[in-house]
Amino acid sequence: MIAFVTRRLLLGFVVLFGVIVITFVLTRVIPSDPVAQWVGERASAQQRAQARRDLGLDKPLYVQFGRYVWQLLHGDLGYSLETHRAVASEMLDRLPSTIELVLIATLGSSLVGLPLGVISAKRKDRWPDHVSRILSVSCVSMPTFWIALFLQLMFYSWLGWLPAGGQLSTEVQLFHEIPKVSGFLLFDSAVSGQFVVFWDALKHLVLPSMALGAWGVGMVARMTRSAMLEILNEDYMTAARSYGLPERVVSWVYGLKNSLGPTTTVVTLSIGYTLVNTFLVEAIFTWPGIGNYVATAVTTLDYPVIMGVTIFSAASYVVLNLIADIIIATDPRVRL
Amino acid sequence: MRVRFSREAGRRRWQEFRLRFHLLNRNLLVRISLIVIAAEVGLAVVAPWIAPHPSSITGAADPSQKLLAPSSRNFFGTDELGRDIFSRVLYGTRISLGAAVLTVALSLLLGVPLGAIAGAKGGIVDDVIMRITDVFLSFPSLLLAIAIAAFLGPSLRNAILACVISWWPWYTRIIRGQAVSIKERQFVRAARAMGTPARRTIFGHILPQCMGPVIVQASLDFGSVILTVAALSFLGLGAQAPTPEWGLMINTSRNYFLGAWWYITFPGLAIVITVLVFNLLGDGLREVLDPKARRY
Repeated sequence: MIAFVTRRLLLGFVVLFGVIVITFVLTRVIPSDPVAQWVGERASAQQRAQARRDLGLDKPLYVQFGRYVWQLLHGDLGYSLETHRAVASEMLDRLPSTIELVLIATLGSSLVGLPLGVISAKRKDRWPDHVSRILSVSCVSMPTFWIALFLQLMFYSWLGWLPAGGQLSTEVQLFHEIPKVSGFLLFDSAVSGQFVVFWDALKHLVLPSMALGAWGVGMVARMTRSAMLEILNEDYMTAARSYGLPERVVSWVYGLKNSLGPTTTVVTLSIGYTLVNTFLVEAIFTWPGIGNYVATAVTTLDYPVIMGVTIFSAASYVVLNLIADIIIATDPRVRL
Repeated sequence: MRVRFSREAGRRRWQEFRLRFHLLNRNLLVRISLIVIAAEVGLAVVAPWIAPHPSSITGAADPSQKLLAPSSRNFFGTDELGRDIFSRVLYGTRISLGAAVLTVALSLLLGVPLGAIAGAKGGIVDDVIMRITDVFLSFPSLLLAIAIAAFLGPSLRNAILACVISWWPWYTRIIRGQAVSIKERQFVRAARAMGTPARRTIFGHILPQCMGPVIVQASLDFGSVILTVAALSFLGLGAQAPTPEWGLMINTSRNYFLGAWWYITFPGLAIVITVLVFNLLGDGLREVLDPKARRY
């Protein structure tokens, strides 16, 4: 077990190093001029030379790379070319909003996807199966950004039930004290008893997390279905039935429990994919997270920001991957 | 002798293909998706000639016609410049399918030989190539594609390039797994014993035997590639105005769609339907080609 985790950790570091190399190489082939972006268009030659030195661009490539890795190891992701602020601290400010959104989306997609997959497997090749399969394949076929816009059109513009974007309504922001304990708005407002804020934040979360979670619903339902299909005819299931246990208990307790391995992997990995999808969705809902941050950076070619968010997302994906492997490895049936 | 042997092999392969196609065709959803794909390919080919308003494709602005609801004149309504959305969506089929074909083809061209070399050569070559693919496969391809496209600069060509760079490792991994098992087979050993050069052994004897699973994977990938290219265009990293690319059209519609539902609905439906049929076809293919799932 320890050897396995160590090996996976080492591979994780190799992967991260690879990501850093790729993004670093890419920043050196870009057609834009970071110096001009840093000092503005009307800077003098002297200012430009100064900026070149400040940004470390006058050094040879391998020195630049070494310096970048050294800074990364100290949690320094460089400075945004647009705002001149530290990328790491700007990301840290936005991270709680994104994490909150991603977790709620994943929770929602598991709560919908799991039962969908179980029902589909139980009623294989009959209409509940067909409906649920078409539903889940549609979920993975829809562009996330389109779902987001369509939800806005439906629930904001036509029905008027939910807000179009942002994390809080203006009047709530103006007339209520916004608690700041951990940075996670839902958690903070619930803990400090600010239920008006909590309710408002929850309402703002619904549409973005639905848009983000749709893909996960499809993935989880498909994986649960195929895992359940393999299990339904196992001997222990027949044994459970022959004890006279109700079918409900057999499939939802015994069956689901035994199919959780592959499903857990999918859920864990879909957190990583959902994180990347926030790049597409947050801007639509003006959500103050890192997805919105990088979507803006992409249009202005703010490359320290793009690099920072890319490396962060890759790192979280590697960590999630590791967690998924460890969860599976704790299953006593798995031999490493 | 040689001729008879290959004719026999060809006949058997044709029979196998017909059996598989028969099994595939029995699945109703697969049959529907095959028809839709054929129709879309046909539309993509003839789009410039059958578009009801050809001038809308590249964008001749007509402010008097802007943001009109769907009607018998403009089936899908018009956009903010008065262009016919139906004509643009129709022409977009050509761009999306073309981008997907190009991406998958280039990824195959890069990934397949690398996988064959890694599998057949083994040793340090294998290690180096496979560790590189491990790096690429360890995080979401959309993330890599976004980063690459951002750095290369926004254009459809660069978006396709970004997709290729993040897609080829999948094919390398599949081919390598196949090649490792095939290189120990008798006919490869025989070829090697007869002194066939390594390059001929790899590309003439091993590679043709590995292509089956890769073709399945490639057909499955069309849907994801279309989604990724659309996502890149939506972020402003892919096709540029006035190209009638579906993702770009949805991006432009963001400022108008609350008062013009048709503007976002139809380009989006075009993406959904196209990706859906490729996914259904892929599911069907897997069921037919995976012996465990096969039902006679």
